[in-house]
Amino acid sequence: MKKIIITTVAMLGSITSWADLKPMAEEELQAQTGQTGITISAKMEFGEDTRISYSNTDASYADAQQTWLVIDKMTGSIEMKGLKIDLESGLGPQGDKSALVMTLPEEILVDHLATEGVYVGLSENVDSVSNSGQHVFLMGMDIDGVLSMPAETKINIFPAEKPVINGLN
Amino acid sequence: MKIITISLLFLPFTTFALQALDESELSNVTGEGLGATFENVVLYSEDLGSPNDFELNLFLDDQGFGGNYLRFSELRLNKSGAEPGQADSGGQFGTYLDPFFLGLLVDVNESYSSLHDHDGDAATAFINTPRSHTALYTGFPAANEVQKERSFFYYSRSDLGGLDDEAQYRGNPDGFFSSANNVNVGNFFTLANNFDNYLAEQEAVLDQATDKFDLHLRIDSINDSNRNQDANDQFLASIDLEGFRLYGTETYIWSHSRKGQEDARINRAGEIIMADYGLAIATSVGLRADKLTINADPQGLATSALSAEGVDVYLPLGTIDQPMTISTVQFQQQYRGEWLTDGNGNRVASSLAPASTQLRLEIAPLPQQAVQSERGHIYIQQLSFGNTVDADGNRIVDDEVVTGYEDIYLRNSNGEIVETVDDVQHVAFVPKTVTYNEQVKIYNEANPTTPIPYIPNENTLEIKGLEIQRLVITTQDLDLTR
Repeated sequence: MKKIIITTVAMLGSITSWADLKPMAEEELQAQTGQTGITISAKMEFGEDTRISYSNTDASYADAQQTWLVIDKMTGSIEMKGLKIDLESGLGPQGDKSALVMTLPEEILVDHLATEGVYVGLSENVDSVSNSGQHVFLMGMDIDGVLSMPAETKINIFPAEKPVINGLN
Repeated sequence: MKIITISLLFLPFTTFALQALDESELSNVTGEGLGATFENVVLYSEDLGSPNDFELNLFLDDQGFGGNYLRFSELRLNKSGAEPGQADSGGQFGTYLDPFFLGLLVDVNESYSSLHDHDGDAATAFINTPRSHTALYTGFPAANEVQKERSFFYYSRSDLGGLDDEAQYRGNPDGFFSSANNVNVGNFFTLANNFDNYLAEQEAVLDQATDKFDLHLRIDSINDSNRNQDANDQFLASIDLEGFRLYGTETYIWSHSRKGQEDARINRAGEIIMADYGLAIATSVGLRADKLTINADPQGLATSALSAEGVDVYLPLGTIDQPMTISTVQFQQQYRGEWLTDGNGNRVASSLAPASTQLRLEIAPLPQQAVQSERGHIYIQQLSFGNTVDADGNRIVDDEVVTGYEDIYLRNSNGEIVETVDDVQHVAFVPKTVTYNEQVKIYNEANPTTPIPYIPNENTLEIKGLEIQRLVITTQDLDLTR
């Protein structure tokens, strides 16, 4: 069984909803009369000492010790005003595609969204006394400011069949 | 502090992909994932130092803003040629028929057979077949496009297949540039036309898949020597990509299961080759760009710019047969500043620190049976060192890069001279063919009813057959002293 534990307060709702995306039948779409999608204004703020710890034990490793990737001490916030989400049909060259259409807000406001460090080490907690000194610092990051998207940028997400794969051999 | 512990909720596709599936599970993989298209793509951030600027700081040590870090700012992305940051400057990326793919599970097979435990059950006999893996696939629009041969020299040779070497062109016909008389051009212009059509095929596919984009980015480097100085003293470079788009860009990620294929491979130092373990990645990036400019002046002075025009780069990093793996090792690194060795040049124990967990990226040698791995190629048509162009289209350059002044004999499709342009300036790292075509353009604009043909452009830089035979990167602590 997998041993992946994620410690986070990140956007779980939207991510899990992508997993359920399926094309809607014509009748289902008609039943949506009166609904024109939703508009979301949201600010996500990381509490002090928020972290993401990741470990994958399914691959074969020569190093027998379980290792964790830790994004430690996340702080700051990210805010968007007016993210629109809608379901649309009749899309694509044949008009046979339905898609989740996300219209991005004009601005994304980021206030020192930061991690003190990304580490690799032997426990999920960098401050763990028992593993003191066992985490290697890889990098830290701080993002701050206003990113503009003035053209009503749209992202259309839809179920897609397996393409012809090159294989990269 | 609020901690929520979630198992297998975050990135559900990823979690499925990162475990090896057995044979029965593989048959349940549907091959359906998500596609995405992007409309009106514009990203804009104001100049660094403005009230609404945007910056990403990448810390290279654990001192945060008190240590050494890189600052990325002035991120601007828009449709090529449009004014940055405007409502009508957006570009299209991906289509419903050729979208950006994500979250797609595929099974991939090695190209060669090997004796292995195919079902992961050590109790049954091993079989000698290609190993298969279940991988998470991510592909950009036009991911199936392969790089074109952008050297007319190689193209014309292959196009003339069947003729002996002496009959094949190695560039332009004899005397095309140097002779003041008419020259025999044979089927040169037919070949040139075929070459144009051959390259245009891919452009047509890319035009369908995605617009060309322009990208601007500023990079600053902050350390103790400039920490308290103004932003221009911290400036490192700005990067501008004009008219760029991706092709052949895709990634496969899977958990590497050796399936008992063989005993662990050992390198010359007696250490296990870690590339048979960990997360495995096979990826490739193809980039076409009209122009790539790196400028070392914070005000963007043209004379401080290094530019590459006509860029086509295709680089694989890891393949199914020879993936790049990410794993961890217990690694004893040498204390910084100490070079203690024995008489044979080997490190002595006293110079080594206690083992610590380190990240390792590795590509193993290509198995002998696999024969040939994916190769990359880089083409750059011309390089410019601070070149600028005046209002009349004349190139203005430093004297140091002027290689001379020669007459150019403009020729029609029969090789006959239609006009001679005297004393045309020639510049280093700009192929003669480019200089010739610049004069053709001027001539054709002046004589629209009797245009003369362009000739295939040569490249200033061609690096062909790039292949990683072996790669080992192990993280180390740069401050480890005693």
